[in-house]
Amino acid sequence: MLKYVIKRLIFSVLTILVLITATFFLMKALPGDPFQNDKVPKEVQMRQKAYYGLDKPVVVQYFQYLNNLIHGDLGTSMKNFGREVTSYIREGFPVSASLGLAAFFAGQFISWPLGILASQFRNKAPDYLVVFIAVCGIALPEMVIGPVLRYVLGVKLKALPVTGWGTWQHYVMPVMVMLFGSTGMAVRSHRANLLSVSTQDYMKTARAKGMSPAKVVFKHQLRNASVPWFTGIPGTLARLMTGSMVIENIFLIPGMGKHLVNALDALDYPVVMGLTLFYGTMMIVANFISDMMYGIVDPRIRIH
Amino acid sequence: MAFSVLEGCGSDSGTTTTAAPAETTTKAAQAETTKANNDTPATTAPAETTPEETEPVPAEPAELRMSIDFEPTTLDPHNSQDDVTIKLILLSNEGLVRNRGGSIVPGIAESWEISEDGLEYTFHLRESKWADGTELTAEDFVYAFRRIVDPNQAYQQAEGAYLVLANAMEYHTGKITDVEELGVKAIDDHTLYVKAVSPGTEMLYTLAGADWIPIQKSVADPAGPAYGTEAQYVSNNGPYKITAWEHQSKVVLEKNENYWDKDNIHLDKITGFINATGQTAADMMLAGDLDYMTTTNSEIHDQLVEAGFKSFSYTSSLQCLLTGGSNTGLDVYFENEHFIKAMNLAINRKAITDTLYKGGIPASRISWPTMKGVDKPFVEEYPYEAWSIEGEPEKAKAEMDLALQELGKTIDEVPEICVLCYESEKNLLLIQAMQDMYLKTLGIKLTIEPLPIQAMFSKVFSNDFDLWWSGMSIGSQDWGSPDGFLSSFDWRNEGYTGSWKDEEFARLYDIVKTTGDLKERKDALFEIEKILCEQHPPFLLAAYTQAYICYSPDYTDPELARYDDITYMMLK
Repeated sequence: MLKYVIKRLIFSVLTILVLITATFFLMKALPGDPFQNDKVPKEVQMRQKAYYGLDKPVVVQYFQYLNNLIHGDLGTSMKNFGREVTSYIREGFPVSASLGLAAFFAGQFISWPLGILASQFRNKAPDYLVVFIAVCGIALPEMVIGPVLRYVLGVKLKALPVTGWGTWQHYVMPVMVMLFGSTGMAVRSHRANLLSVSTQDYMKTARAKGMSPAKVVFKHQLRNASVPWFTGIPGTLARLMTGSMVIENIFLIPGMGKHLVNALDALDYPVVMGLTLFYGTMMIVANFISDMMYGIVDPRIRIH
Repeated sequence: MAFSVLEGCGSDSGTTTTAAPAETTTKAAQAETTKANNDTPATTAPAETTPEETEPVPAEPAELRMSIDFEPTTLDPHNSQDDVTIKLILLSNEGLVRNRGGSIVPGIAESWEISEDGLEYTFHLRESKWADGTELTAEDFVYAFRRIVDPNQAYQQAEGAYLVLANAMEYHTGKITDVEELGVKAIDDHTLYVKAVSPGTEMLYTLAGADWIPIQKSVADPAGPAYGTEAQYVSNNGPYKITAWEHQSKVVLEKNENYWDKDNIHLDKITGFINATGQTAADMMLAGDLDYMTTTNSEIHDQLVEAGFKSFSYTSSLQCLLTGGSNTGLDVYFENEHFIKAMNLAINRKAITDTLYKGGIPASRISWPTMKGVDKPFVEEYPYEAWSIEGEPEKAKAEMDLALQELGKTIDEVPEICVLCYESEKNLLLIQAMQDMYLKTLGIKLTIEPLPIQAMFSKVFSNDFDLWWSGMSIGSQDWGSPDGFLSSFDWRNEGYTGSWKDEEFARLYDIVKTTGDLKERKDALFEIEKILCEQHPPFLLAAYTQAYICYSPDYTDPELARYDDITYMMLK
């Protein structure tokens, strides 16, 4: 097991390095120059480039960037002059993360009961209804649901604040929008896993022994069907916690979601690099934890 | 030159519309209710109380909640380029003079003298303070003016200083090294000497801008590169002071009790909600969470007016197709007067603004309907129609035939023309409409190249484009201002990449730049307008973009200077 862990760790670090390298050189390959501006004399543009180290050869810039990373310096924005890239993460991530966590936990209270209901009444009315709801949730885009909810609940009914952040009420609508898509997929996944487990021999044995249906579900079926879900938690959380540009724009939430897109548009190299590195590292760490959890929860998968 | 990809802002009188007052409870109504609840009923004899026994009801702080389109890039005036940042800077700071309602009024300088040659200004500063109570002196202006052209820095607005301050370019580029030779000096604590690059009415309008506010050395020096990045790293001497800046969330300004004219400032607090745009901001207005927003979307404007909000509109930019420079390969066609005329006459501007560019006004000349003239709107004093807003397809075809004859080409030999634009859905729809017009009317094929903003500007600045769909700035005073678009057509400027040259244009433009006589300036502008409209050198003007301000009827109207100005607004 230890050997497996170390191997996965090394692989994860290498993946992060590849991510940094690929992002760095892809950014350099993009058309455009962040400082090209016919209003600014050439010598001044050169000074601007020198300040950010852009006057050096690309390979030198790359190693300089790696050196800065080791010292925890992600650089400063070229568009929001003087703002450190770490400040984007420091200010935005807690907001995006708390919203993501809220959506995750709320989603479990909805997706599991619906998944169990659908699996117990397979090919009957409740199953069809649940699947229909799930598919609608997946099909409806956030940019449609969000403004509609905002208008109905915020403007017309004045039940919730239209936009903003800071109180528990500000969580409600964004979480509802996030739940539509993510819960729909979770419901279908839970249903499939539960149905797959329900045909196993030990399930037939449990029923044959006279165990109550509820006990069969909760003691045997749910436990075994939840392995994929359990090991997928880190990845799901990583995706939810890094923020949604659409939702943050609709509800004016000061999260991290929109920074990357805005930075790409403006060719703000340090911000693009810093945020890509952050997102990528989160996903890589999440995958690493998932791999470890597989080995822990399922002895059949454990590698010696 | 100031390009705006989306919309810039402008300076002219706007138009105001008002509908029935909103039905939702407003702050004024709440204040009235509070007052009424505390008033003695009319039918009851007033109680006999001594003044000490009657506790006055504290007035509710007057707050305006407004939209801010996007996160301010910085509050450092020497790096401020977008109108969001500039508006915030001008709310919290004041320069020597102020542009109020399109006219120059005293700011920190209560009076000034101008030498006979129009180059030397002596400003007499009033007694005034920074928001923290320290005295503001002429040295603060000297510090700021020197800072913008500091050769060790690369401030975005430095190039603008070249056209304003004597020796600014020389000092910034290192041609002179003694900062004392820069055209600014403090004669004493309250007297400032400024030497301009050229005479003319523009100087004071320029000094009213965000680039030329004073900066507090005791705040800027310790902050270093962080100056302007946070609320605690800015200096304020204006009507309001920035007290909080929550990134991607809001900016809070409060009334500056140390402002010299504070008695004329009636808002206690302004809260700007960042990224509140479009339907999001409209929904906030309808829910009562916002009092003031800006939009170029006429449907949102109509929605809010119907709901009882007041509105105010003004021309914010000119939307046009700009032709590429001398290395596009299509020069031979763009340099042909008949070819350009054909392209101009083939556009049905009315159809575009009626359908795809709602809220825009189709252009039949350069000067927009509310641009100021000498005493009246320019278009009234200088009536002119260069082309029909519905297009003239037959005339366009005739011009194209003449062009092809002169060039010895057939229509099939005309290369595809690529239109560069910012990648927005609106732009794509507009250019697709023009694609269709050109193909059907003239048989010319257009392709579209939508790009992210910086990639687009890279191609523009390296002149790697055939046509560019862009917004053109209308300038502080008018389109002849240094920050208007006219300077782009002056081939004598370093960096000019076009091929069009006209001596009469140059002569007239020099008059615009240097004359102190408003009538002479406007006369010259009119002549230039006719030259540009008839020769069409580098651009095809499509429409004027209208910006709408929508606001609660509880407040007085904003003013319009370089941008919409909320400084003097108050609760009614």
